[in-house]
Amino acid sequence: MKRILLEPLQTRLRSNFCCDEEDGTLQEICNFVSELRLLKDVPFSYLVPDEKLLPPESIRFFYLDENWLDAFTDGAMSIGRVAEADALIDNGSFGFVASAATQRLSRSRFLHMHPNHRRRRDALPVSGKARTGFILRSELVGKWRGLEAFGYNGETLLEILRMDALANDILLCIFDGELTKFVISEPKTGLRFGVADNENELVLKSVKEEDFGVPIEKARVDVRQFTGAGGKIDVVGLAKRMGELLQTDVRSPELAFELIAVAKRAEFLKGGGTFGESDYSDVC
Amino acid sequence: MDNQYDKNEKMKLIGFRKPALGSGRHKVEVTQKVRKPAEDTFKKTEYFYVASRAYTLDADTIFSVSPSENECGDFSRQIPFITLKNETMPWEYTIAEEINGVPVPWAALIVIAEGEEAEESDITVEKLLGDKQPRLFFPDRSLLPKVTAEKGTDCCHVVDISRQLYLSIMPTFEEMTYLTHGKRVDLADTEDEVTAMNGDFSVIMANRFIPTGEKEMQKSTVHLVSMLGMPEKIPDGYDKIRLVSLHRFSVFSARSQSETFASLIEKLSRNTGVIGYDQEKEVLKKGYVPKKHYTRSGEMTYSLYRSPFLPYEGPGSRIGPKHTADGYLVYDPENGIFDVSYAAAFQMGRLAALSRKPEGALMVSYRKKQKLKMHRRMLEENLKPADIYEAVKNMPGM
Repeated sequence: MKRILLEPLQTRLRSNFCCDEEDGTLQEICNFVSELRLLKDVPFSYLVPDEKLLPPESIRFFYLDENWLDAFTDGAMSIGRVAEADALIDNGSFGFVASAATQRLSRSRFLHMHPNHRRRRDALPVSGKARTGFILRSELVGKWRGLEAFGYNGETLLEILRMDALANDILLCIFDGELTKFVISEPKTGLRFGVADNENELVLKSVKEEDFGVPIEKARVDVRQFTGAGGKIDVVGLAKRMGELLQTDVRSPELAFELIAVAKRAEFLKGGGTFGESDYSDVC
Repeated sequence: MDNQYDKNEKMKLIGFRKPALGSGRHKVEVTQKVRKPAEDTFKKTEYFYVASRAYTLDADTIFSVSPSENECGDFSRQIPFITLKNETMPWEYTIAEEINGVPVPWAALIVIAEGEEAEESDITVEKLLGDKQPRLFFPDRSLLPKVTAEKGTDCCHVVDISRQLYLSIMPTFEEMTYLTHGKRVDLADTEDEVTAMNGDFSVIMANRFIPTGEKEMQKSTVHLVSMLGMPEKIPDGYDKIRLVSLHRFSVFSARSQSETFASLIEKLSRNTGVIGYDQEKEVLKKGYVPKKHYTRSGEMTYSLYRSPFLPYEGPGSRIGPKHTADGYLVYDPENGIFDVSYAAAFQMGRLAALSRKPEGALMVSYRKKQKLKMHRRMLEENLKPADIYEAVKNMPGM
């Protein structure tokens, strides 16, 4: 018995250890690590080490380096690692934590999102093999709050794992999957009320259910007729004229709808080849 | 009811949204009838006030203003508007009878160009309601709510407008009903901070295009003013009208090049690419940045660092845990240069876990649990009653 008790713990660990996947604490660790793997808590200088990599009014697309994230995860899990025994326990659980954390990447944004906007009951596990995204530096970020980003792989919409304004003019977005098409759209919350650039006439859009939003070419309103000195608008007159042309009652929602400039969208397509993938050889 | 997740609605515009409880005094009466042992009725009446802000606006309530504060551009065709996170704010108070079934909002957005006769100042609420200057019209105390969130000593911002300007720019009550609406927006594709909001907003539009200079920038101030205590028609005999300004922002407009969404996107489209230097050298193209590296022995060298952003799809293989920062150092013997990317990532991981104390402690407690489990299992597997008996029998004194 004495012999057994004296046998070093290490040897027992080497032969017996397996990762305790069901353990509650380990599950919590996986949740925590999945947030880290979205680059939360990473200082900006580690993400963009040189200003020249992200000049003003530029957008840069990227793939996430899973090895970098593994090193990051290893560092996070190294807290309290003192003896060899600790390292061996960590060795056993590292693989599980890294892959479980990757599976849960969509959890953080899903939980944070208001239930009104959720598109499903639970967060989906990550589907793509790779995580890609973009980092954008532009005045757009601060001035157009509520900017919308849609990432596509072919025609399939990709799930947004993280979209954060890191500064007043920097937006980081990570998608689940490989990005081949990226659409950026004006925010729905801040659509401009006003007459379109270089035009004085407003082409009214239909408010009937069957062709909602479709512009009616013949229904045009010259806003100048309802604009007085100093730019003041005869709101009631304008609403009544719109009502006549649309043959419907025009109240504040309809008036707002007609004055809203159509949200602009821009599409960025992935073109050209990427760099040779396997130039980067395994090291160490 | 439809599946709440099957949504086609991206945005909804609503005429008005009254709050469930308006401002003012409310009465609650509870009556309970009892049959046994005898018929009886118990009644209790309680009064309570809902006091809302009437002279100031919580800056947190503002989601956005358009154009943005202090923005420069050509806004000659733009109508400014303000979006509030509080979807019932404009209808919290009743200032007049409903017009065509639509309640009149109590706040309006007006645009005053620089040079037009208006003066701004900060005064206390008491002074606002009692400053009897000759020919100055200010909010009528008798028309104002008795109880508000602000006290007499709180400060509010006011703007004094000349009668002429007032008559030329103020919207009528009927016009105000057309300029205010509620909005419900689907925020699933916006940034993380915005998706946490419930999507319900209220919007107040101005009734004037932004004054624009032909060549020079024209400054204008957009005010969200309170119409509480103001009658629809200002009586004669007053030269100046004092309005409470709940919020204000300035814009600068001139007929010239302006940065619109489209022009900024166009700029972006000329500067897209994958992350990495636009250089010939392979190493720079791949996104490596040379950085000064002070080694532990005091020497200085240059090492390469790369962020987790790769300009190409990473190799599928993983290098596995290395347990120390040094274990992740990559050395190129041919050029005598280190790649410290992963070592730096490891260190940052440690710091990230340390900065989050509760999560950092999780790892330690997990290991402790595992060690105890191992130990217990080892004892259970190896300790049999016969062994214990033998050991105890052989102990001195037994």
